[in-house]
Amino acid sequence: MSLSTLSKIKTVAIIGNPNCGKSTLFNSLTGLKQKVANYPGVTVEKKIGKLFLKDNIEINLIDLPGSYSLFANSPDEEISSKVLLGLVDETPKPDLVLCVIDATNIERNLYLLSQIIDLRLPVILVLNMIDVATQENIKINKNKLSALLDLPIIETVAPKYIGIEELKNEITKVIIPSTSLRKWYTSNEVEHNTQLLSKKISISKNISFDIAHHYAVQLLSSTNSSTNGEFSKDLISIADKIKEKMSFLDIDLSSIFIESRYHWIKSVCNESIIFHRDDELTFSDKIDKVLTHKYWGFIIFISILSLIFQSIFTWAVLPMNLIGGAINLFSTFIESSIPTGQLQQLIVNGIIAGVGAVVTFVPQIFLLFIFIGVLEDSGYMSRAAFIMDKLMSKVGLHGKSFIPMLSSFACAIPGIMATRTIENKKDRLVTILVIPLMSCSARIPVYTLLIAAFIPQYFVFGIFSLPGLVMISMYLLGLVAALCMAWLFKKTLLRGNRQIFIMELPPYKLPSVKTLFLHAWERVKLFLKRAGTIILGISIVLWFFATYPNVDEKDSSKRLKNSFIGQAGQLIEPLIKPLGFNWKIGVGLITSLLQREVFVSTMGVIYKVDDSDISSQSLQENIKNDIDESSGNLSFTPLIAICVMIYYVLAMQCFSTLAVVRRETNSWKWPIFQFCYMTILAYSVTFFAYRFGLFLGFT
Amino acid sequence: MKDAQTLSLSQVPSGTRVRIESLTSDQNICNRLRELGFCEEAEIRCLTSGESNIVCEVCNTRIVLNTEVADKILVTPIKQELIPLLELPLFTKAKVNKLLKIDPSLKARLMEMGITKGTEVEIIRFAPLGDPIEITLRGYRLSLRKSEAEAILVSL
Repeated sequence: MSLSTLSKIKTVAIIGNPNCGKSTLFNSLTGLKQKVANYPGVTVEKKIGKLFLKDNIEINLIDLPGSYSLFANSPDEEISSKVLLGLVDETPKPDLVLCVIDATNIERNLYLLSQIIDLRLPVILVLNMIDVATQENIKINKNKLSALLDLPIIETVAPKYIGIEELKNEITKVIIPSTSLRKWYTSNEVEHNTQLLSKKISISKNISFDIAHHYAVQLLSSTNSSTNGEFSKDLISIADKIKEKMSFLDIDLSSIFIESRYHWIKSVCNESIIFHRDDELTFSDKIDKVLTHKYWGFIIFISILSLIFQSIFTWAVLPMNLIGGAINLFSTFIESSIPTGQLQQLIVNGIIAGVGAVVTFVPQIFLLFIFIGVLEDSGYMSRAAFIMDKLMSKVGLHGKSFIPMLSSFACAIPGIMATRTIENKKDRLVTILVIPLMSCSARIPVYTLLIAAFIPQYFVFGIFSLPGLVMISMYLLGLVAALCMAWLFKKTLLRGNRQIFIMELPPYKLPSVKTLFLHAWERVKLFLKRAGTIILGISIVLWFFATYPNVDEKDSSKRLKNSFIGQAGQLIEPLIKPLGFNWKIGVGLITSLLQREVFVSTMGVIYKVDDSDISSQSLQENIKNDIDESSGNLSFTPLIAICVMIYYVLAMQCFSTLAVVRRETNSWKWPIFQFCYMTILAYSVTFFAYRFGLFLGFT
Repeated sequence: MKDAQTLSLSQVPSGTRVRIESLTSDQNICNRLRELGFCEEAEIRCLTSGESNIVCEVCNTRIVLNTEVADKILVTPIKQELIPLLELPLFTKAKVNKLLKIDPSLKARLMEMGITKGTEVEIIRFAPLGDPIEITLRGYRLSLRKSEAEAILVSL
């Protein structure tokens, strides 16, 4: 038996600042053997992979979220510090920490390292992106740095697998993990009092002195009481006494610890690193000169966005059609292989139709996440936030909310998933709440059908076609509604403290293809797994209500009319009458609760058209000429058609979105709230639009 | 004591606020300069100092001088003057001196990102719409809103 099999190391955590190349290192170490889940109770991603070392040693590698500090400012950082302290259920306390440091940005990165050293955890320092540092003339005396920090150091270039083997060897070498001592010191007075408090905490919480010291620093440097929940009253009153004593001596405890750390860091850097930074513009500076330019910045930003949306609409069409075709083939196959009957109907019209329609969105989601990944990993995303922040701050949102909102013109689901880049919890929630107001591609069939049927080809000022203008108005209505609601939520329900916008602008770099694909694939998997299970259930329920109780009726139009949903449509008619809608539209509203585009096929069934294709002339004609039985009037007029469209812009009719919102917010509270507010909004706006239309003399 | 600090305006690093000690050009030029606001005891600020000319802020207006003229203007830098970071001209290095009383979590965040006393900072650019700003410190780039940067006082 070799020595290394005696190794006590079972769990290794990777931690580092955002943008230090941590994820790429994680991928280089674990390859495809990784699992993604959520930490219990929060929407922070938990990434675990298997690392294989010599002699068949298998180690669990945890990729902790990017953090600047262990005194948490975001849910991500909270998780990182809790995992390191061993406070998270189902996640063992790591036996060894790989602290990844961006070699071009050592000074700030060492801040986090100093906090980790303080916890007396065994650490290997990984100096990543060492190639870029060399290019930028940053000379790091590795031996000296290692001696000063009292830690082993490995230099890596993660995307090129440089240094990975050495790192693995180093992990194998650590048999009995050794730790190093705290390196920074404050003034005698502060040291003395902090140690005093640490001893008290150590005894009362029954933890080691070093971890108690970590808490003591946290307790003494915090000025608000929100972080004090974990401590007993006695400890808080001791801390308060110390604070009072120090303020007599004119010592600001909220800053002295941070300053002392940075003071130590500066001395370490001065001794071990030589910067040859000339004042010449760096590569990133040259790019930034154009990309954040007053005019060019916007032009390029808009071009990049239009490129993305164009490709999502065009490139995704082929795979979407292929998937759609495959689903059709599959359902014909099922139809022919299972005897005609209710089971066949349930599988074909309920399960395959419902789930299949969701699956066809996969190419769009995959593509969008590849693009978002490129923007994020190249460093452009923070520039986009930099450019857009002023506009977004007008409605109380962060610059980072812009991209998810725009993505939602394609589909709200990837948009909602993309809000994970927003650190502030409340901002993220507000963005999620308003995203479904942006007109997604599923609304296009509804708009197209109604516009083609009711809006005449008329040219305004000779150049703008009226149908085109109506279409654009619908998109604008969604955008304006989203911004207004965001503003309203920020003012009322989700009023936060003053919002903090402090964002690093990392140097530009080429994204790693492997990381991009892994990331996009994870998103697709999550989408299929979580949204899929809920969709499956709801598809079955909806099919049941649309089919029963008159299963045996041969005429599909009559069957739908007499089904539970048809009856419900007639039942809610008084409710939607004020909007100008009759029961047939009511049935459409109910069936499209699951998915908006179902409106078109429902209209097809009601108006007895075999092929409910939107381009179908007969469906448009039938809808146009339909006469309401009770009043004798036309059931659809241009005004009503526009009202239906307005309703579809504003109403929440997408269970997949609700399912994703529930996933991302970890409770049913927010999706239910979202559903309610959007329905109320849609109803009232449509109501006023209809009344206003009547007032103006349209019928 | 005065002499130790006196230097010519062309030697002053950009961004420095200085007091004019004396004008040593010939009479005509001196009078012209005084008319423009370069009087003795006047406080001016050097915005950019280049190879051949210098831009100064004098009585809220910007004036360009060539170096020959600037050589003959003797000034003393006004020391330890705290100015808000936002008033720092672009690409001018200054040291963080103080963080004003602000929301504690904001202050902690700013400090944890490295904005501590004595740190050298420099404004790189403003976002196209004027807000936020981009600064450089400790060898990396950080972006903050003006409302946050307002709390940072620097000295040259």
